Amino acid sequence: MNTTVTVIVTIASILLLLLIWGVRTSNKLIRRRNQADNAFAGVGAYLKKRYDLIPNLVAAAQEYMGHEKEVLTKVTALRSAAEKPNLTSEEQIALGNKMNAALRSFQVAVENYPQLKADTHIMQLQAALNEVEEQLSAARRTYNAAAMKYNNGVQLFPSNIIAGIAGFRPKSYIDAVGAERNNVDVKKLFNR
Amino acid sequence: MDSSIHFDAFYNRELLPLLTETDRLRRRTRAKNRGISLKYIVITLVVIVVAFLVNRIIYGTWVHNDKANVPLVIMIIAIFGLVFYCRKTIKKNKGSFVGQFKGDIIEKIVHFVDDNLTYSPYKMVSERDFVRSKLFRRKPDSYNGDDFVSGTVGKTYIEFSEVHAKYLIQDQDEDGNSRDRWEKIFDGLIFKADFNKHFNGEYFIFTEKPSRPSMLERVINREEDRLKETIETEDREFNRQFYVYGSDQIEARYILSSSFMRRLLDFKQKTDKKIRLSFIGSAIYVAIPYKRNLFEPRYRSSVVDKEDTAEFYYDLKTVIDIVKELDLNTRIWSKQ
Repeated sequence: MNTTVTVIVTIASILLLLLIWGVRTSNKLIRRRNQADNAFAGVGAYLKKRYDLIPNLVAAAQEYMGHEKEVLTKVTALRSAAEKPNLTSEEQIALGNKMNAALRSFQVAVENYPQLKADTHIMQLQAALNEVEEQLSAARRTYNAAAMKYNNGVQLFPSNIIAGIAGFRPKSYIDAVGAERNNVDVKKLFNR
Repeated sequence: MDSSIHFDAFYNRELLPLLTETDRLRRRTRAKNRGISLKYIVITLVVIVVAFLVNRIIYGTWVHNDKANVPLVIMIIAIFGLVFYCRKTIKKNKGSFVGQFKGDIIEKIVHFVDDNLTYSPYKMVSERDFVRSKLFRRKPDSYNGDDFVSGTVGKTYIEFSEVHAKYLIQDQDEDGNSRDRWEKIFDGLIFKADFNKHFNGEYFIFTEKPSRPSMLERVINREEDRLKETIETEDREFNRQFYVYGSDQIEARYILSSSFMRRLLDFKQKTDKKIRLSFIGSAIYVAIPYKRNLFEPRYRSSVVDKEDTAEFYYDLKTVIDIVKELDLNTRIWSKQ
């Protein structure tokens, strides 16, 4: 009789401890997911800030860049795509990356137009763009750090057990290449 | 050109004649002060002799056991007064030598490092700025400093000075008597510059883990934890060498760009000191601790010493070069 009670109490204790651990792990994962979501919202805010600069930039560049229409068209099209409601976070990341590439082509194209390079309005817009790029880079790094912390929780043993049961999915990272390159461009721009 | 070759030429051309001249003043001041000391010693001895003589005339003995010995009492008061005035005069003379040294030599070195800078030997970074920087948890009860340098390096306004900050503790002994005790907050250089980016939050970088108020201290003393969140950057080496805190994760990374972190690592290695930095209200504050008193001339031996003078130069250059080292002149568009 005593042995049965002992066994039941032991099993109950273990189950209780497991339950406490499960709840704590789940809470930790939720906290990390919220942090990552919050950081992602920061990325979204700066992406929006960058998209807001695009119409002015395109309008100012259009008169000089007759031969580079496709660059401007691409930038405008990407902006319109980003304006669409209900984009998933993966789509937002993908669009942001495409925009990085498009803006890089734009910056390269600007180099071929001395008149355009000398235009104060364009210079101001490019400088403003660089500032947003730096902020975006900071937001992206924050998101990636938060996503890595969350993903570690989701994928590493033993918390991956709880993640599997509760349906936590790993988050994708944001490509680092674009923003980093633009960081370097700031200096170049001011030294011109 | 290598800055040491540059400095050597400057030393021989401009500083050496000035130093020789200042050393003459130092010798004159020392001789004058020795004369003053001697004069006061003689006066003191005369006062003692006269006091005892008068005492003997009045009371018939050198020291009367039952009487007030008024001449001796007056003598003791007079000796205190003499010592006080003697020290004051010596200090004043020494002070005017130090003032001339700083005005001639240190100011010249400051201008040699950057011509746009102004040097004020008796001013300091304001206590308000020291408190505002939040580099230290304690607010000072005693705050003083000297050797204030200010001006614009490139596009960046900077100011720095030597600062000594202390706070007062009241201890109680076993009998319940309270005793004052001074504890050091900081001795060294405080540097303030306009930062090259806009930010709204408050950020801190320390080379040593700073003390933070405990839950109890927060409730009882109503002390706010100024450091807020811990920030872990993606640079592992940086995380190993620095502790970063601040109010916003994204903005902290905006300030700490990858290149800025690299520059800060280099700066730390170069100075080899327990530096602290804060970013508050659009400014960057840097605290560099020093154990010795900076920019003070020798008094007992010759000031014509190249090594000593070079040390003044390198100390100044280290601080003024923060602008270059941390690339504060490369400004973000809205802070042009």
